[in-house]
Amino acid sequence: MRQLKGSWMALALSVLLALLGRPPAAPAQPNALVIGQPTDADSVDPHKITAVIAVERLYNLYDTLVNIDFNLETITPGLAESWRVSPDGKTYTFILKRGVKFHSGKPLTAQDVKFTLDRWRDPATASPTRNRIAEIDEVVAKDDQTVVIRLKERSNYLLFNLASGFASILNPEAVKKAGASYGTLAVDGTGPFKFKEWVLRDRFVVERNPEYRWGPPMFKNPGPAKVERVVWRVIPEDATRLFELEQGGGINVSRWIAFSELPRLRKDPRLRVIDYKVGYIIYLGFNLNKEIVQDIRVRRAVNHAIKKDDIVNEIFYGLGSPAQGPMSPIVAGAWKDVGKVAYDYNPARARALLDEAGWKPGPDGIRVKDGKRLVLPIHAIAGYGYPDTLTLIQSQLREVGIDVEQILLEEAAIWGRLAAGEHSVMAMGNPHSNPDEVLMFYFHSKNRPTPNRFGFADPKVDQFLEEGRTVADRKRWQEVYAEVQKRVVESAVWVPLWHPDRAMTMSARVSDLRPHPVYDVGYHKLLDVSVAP
Amino acid sequence: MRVYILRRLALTVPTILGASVLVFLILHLVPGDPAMVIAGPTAPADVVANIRAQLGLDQPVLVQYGRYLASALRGDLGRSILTRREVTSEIGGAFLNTVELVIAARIWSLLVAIPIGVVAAVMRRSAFDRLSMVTALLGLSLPIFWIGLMAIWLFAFKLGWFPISGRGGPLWTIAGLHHLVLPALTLGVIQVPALARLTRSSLLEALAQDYVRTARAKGLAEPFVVAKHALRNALLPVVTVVGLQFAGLLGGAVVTETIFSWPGLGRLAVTAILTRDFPVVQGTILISAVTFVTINLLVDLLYVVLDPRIKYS
Repeated sequence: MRQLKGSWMALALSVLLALLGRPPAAPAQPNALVIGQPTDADSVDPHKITAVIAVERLYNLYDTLVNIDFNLETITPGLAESWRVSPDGKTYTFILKRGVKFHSGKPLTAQDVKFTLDRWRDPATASPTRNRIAEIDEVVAKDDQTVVIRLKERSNYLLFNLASGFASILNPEAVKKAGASYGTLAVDGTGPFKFKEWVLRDRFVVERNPEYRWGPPMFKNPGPAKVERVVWRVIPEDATRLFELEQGGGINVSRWIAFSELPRLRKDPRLRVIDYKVGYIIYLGFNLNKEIVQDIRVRRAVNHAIKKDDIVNEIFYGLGSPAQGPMSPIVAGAWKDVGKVAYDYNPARARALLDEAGWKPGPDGIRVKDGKRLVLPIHAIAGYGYPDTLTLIQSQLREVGIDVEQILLEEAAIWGRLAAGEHSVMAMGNPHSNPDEVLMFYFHSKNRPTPNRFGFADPKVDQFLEEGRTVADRKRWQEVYAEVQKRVVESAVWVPLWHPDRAMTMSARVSDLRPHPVYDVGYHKLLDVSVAP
Repeated sequence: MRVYILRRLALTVPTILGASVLVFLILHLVPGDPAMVIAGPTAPADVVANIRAQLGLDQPVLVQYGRYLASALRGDLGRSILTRREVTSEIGGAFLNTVELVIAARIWSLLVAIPIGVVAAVMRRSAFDRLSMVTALLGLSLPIFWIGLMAIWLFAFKLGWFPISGRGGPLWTIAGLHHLVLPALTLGVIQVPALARLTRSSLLEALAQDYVRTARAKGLAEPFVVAKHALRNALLPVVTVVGLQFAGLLGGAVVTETIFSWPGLGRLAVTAILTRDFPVVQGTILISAVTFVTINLLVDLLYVVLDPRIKYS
């Protein structure tokens, strides 16, 4: 009897262990790419958003006049099949492709482009990105296929900005009809996918546009797309998102998987992990209006005291590279010799600088000067890896006698505090595809108090930044930006920390999904992607 | 009774108004600017100011509240600052999703907790009583996010019996019901311990009363004594707690909703607070306050059904 009971128990245990073995195969997705992400977008009106999570949808719902290639340098045709630039660089004439239609069936015309750009620039629209095309003076629809853009001054960045998701071309009829609901309840673009359904904070669904034939040359397939549907599923919890991806039924791709899981997932034959580089910098920025960081020796000491390799390897599992300057090395215009002026990890040098600045070690090891302790309050967002990063920095700076107070806040609160100039030091990141998107924003004196939250003002830097926007000669263009980066690094207004890499994890059934580094979106037009049953 | 109900309904107005004013003031006093959330980190100051002006956020707080109140009294709760959707449509869908989840959780937790509590009370000091109360203590101690993740891991990921996350569709569809099971089980499981313990202690108290001794002395069968006489009185405190918990949960079971990607009111409220989406926050507070007040009234009315000695005037 005892033997029998034991046999039944052994059998029950075996069944349980078998059931708990490999997860059962989930039902196949019927030719749909299902993307898992932690939050939802607010809108897909290109003139109302800045979030990365929204911009990646724009590239699939809409088209732009031109596109930026995977190398973040080459501009390729989009809705414009060709363009010419006047000798003075102030007039661009775009010839639109024929046969392009909006999802509603309306043919694309130059008037639609004019409407879109005028709306983007109009202060009444209150677009957060309208300053990107501040140099546009006038947009003219010469005829149905020809758009002329006249600039106030020559610009090296017009085409870059016209390739951004914010420059997605709109159907004026759809926008006017939907009013304030455009971008949430009504969408009409020319893109490879049509808006199908949006259940807020649950899923955003688009369907293949069968008429699409005008995809950019950077994709092998000009259209229609190979997948029938793309679904963005909102799964806020990291563990749940991972379960969905591993099981394979709920989502089949995500770039929001915890780095700690990637070593294990790389070995899973059912999955594929693609690592890719993006133009991004994470940095500490000093507010030069605050006395405690006004001494350049203190700022340089902090630069010398932080071991950036530890940040990349200990916190982010090696997915990235230590930064030496304010620009990502993969972005054109990044100064190749920034290492000549960058600050190496050198705690001894840091201590010497602090001694020289009059900060002497106190009884607890924290330096003191005129009765004041050297405590750096650092403002950062309470997420995205900043708390761990600041904790590591805190321990490294303590080694040289600097104490750190972490001030971690949610995003809405942080922007308010930074705008008020409360911070002495801030930790932040910035995606960029060209020098203007980081150097002009953060280091031109006219951009104080925001986005230049550092109080940085150098007339030479201003001059070079303005020249960089307009100079025609490529060699001179590189020289001016090299000079800006040199002066920024030498001023030690920033501690460039690291350039993060990204990892896109997908089911092995997904093919030909090539992440695009622009604006850190990952997903550009999903024309080449296919999903096996 | 009618007068009582009307009086209670009239009292809801200052309650809801008070909550609305308090929340409005708190939201505007804490640091955070939705215009900057919309503008992003690289927008210049004039662009941020432009957005703020367009949204009416540059007006004095009292003016903003006045405008909001005037619209709300006309039934217009405004538009979300971030999505520009009407607040009523944003909240309506989320609220119904939470109602589904909470009702399902409540039903199964009551079906489990009350019998356990009754049996534990009737078989006091038995092995069942001890085991159930220790299990209840354990259930109270386990964090809900752990329970949820374990439920996903076992029943969805490993065994494949249920979907991992999301709301599969309307409640009357198979997919909708299938997606509801795990989140409802998780939300319900943390309520069972407290309800079981309360039922047990309340029933023990009722069973010690004179009228129960009289009923036994009259020769009534024990199950009849427990179910017909003692239980009705024992349920009064249970009804109160169930009502309060229910009302609270309808404000949003945010942890469960997050774990299971359930698009409910809790997640909406937290997102709105974090992004300072003032109209949406106001709307969620309004609906939570109305729900709380309504359920409390219904609980009080239920007392009359359970205990005829209770009369309201």
